[in-house]
Amino acid sequence: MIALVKEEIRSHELIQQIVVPEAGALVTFDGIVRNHARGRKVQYLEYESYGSMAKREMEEIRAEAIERWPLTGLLIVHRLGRLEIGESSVFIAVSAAHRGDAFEACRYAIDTLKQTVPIWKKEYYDDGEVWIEGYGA
Amino acid sequence: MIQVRLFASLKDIAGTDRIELETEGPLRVRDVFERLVRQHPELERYSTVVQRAVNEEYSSWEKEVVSGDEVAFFPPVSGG
Repeated sequence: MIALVKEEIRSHELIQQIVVPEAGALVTFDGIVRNHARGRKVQYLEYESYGSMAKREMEEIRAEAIERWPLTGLLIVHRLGRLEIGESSVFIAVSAAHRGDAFEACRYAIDTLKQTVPIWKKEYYDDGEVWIEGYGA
Repeated sequence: MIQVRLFASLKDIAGTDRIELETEGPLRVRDVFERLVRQHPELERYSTVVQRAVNEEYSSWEKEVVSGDEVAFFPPVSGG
């Protein structure tokens, strides 16, 4: 499952989709909105996407991961719009028969998403806002 | 007509997220961006980092586009 959503990500409901009888491991990554960045206090974030292309890129990550590791399920959900501190911006869940494959595929999925999926965050501070450009920027 | 889509800071600089460009023959992606810079000179400072996509797939500067194609320009991504 691949999705871009405007509402809260309900991770506990989502994982039910990939916890299948063949799975022996479930690895999840939850990206959380943090209250500081680059030495500044962050009030909230806004995410914007090139929606149709973002979904294609997310599908490609999913397809590549399924080809490289023996998985039983993989889902990627990214939230858009305004997010408050502590909310989940991205949720990735991977299930596999064995934990090694699930860990590696989950790491691959989030690292690749941050480099290829056309989504941008804008950080809002007490005294202004800035578009963040680039992975690790 | 080539449809140009702009995102994030590039959209803010241009003041719009969509621009339509008239074209007779094919244009390279590079030519499309140069036309945008002529309309919005502030975009020039993005010329070394801007990411390009044609019809929702990452593209080189040299790719040729024709009427009906959608060309997108955006800053390095920062999702996650």
